[in-house]
Amino acid sequence: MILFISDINKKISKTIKNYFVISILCVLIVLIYYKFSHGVTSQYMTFIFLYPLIGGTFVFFIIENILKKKVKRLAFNFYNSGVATLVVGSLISGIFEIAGTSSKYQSIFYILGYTFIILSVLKFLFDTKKCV
Amino acid sequence: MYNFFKKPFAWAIFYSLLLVLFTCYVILDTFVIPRKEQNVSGKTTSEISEQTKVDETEVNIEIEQEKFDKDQNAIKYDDNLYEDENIKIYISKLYKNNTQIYIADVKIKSIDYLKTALAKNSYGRNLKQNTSEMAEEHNAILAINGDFYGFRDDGFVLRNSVLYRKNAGNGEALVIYEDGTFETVLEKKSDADELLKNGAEQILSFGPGLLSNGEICVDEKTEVARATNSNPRTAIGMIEPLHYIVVVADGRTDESKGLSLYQLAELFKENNCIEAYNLDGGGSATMYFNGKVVNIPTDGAKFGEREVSDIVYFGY
Repeated sequence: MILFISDINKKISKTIKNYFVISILCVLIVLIYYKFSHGVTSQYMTFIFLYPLIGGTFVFFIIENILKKKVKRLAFNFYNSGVATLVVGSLISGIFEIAGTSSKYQSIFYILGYTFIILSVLKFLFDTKKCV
Repeated sequence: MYNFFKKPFAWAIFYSLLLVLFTCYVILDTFVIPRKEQNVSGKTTSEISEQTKVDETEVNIEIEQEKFDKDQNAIKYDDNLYEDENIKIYISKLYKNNTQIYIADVKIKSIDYLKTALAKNSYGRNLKQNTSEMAEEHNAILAINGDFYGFRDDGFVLRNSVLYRKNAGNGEALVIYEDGTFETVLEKKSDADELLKNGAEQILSFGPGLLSNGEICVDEKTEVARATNSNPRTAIGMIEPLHYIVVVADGRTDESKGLSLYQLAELFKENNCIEAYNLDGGGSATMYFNGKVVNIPTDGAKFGEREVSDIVYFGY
């Protein structure tokens, strides 16, 4: 367990960088998609990069540099899953909006994504130790 | 199980796989998997199966009779004109705003000659057919694509006096009444049952409304779902009850750029319409007349008709 915790915190700087790269990838994917969408755009897609940028890079930067707390594996896994689910949900919502359609399943992505994030935050708040 | 969630990559792989599978299902459910909910007669699929053989025979006899009647009544019939004692249609072509536009001027004696048809003769999600196929099946003289209702879960669907969907969409709907008048209503402020009770024969849910009481009700920036480009368009307008203008504009090609909604509205105003409504455009925009597709449908990537959920047609 201790090995996992220290291993994760070593990787937090890498996680910050990874989330930043994912944000840039999101911007590129959206720009390419817009090339073929005949001028139709969607705010779900336009702002998709904010999930990894704020939810990933910014949050982990705060944890590492300001809160200076350790993140346990379970909270880390759930948080990443939450952000990933929100990114996919937003992408799907954007694709559907541009196509002019909708699906009853769209809300599941958001419910699941935010549930994962809330669980991970609760786990993080009640289960972490201060860095020495 | 608890330990499994804490493993570095096991959870990531497991959850990524779940997310991908679920996403694929949602995409297939939205765009591909057909769901037949009701036959056009208003009966459910199971109810209709028992009567299918009898109905088919009756329908065939009716179709033959209608074909015969149509042939008998037809006075003029060529690439641009159809005229009999009940229906008069004249198709003209116009090149304007770098766009090839097809305008059909339609006069009918009764609203019974303005009809709609659903793909596969059924109401449901992702049930699709080419406009020309549906038009041929229903002996349409002039047909255009409808509102592609089957691509969405909301928006009123009332066809040939049968109400299939009551849940309101966010936009405006076109109501065609039994006296031949058009009205554009805001769905959230309307009740489909009430409209049916008030004599609505058809409700099409796409929009926006282009003309209301002779005034253009879109501006240069109004577009469908924030589209900023000119696009292929399909729209229908009313000069007076039982006298209509149907417009299809080609787009997304070097030869024909397409129209903005404002340009489309201007076109209807120039043609003396007092009400006009935008239908599904883009790759769906198709006009069928006298057995042929008269425009050049394209989604910008490939040419040819796109399968759609429904058509609006004039015929017997």
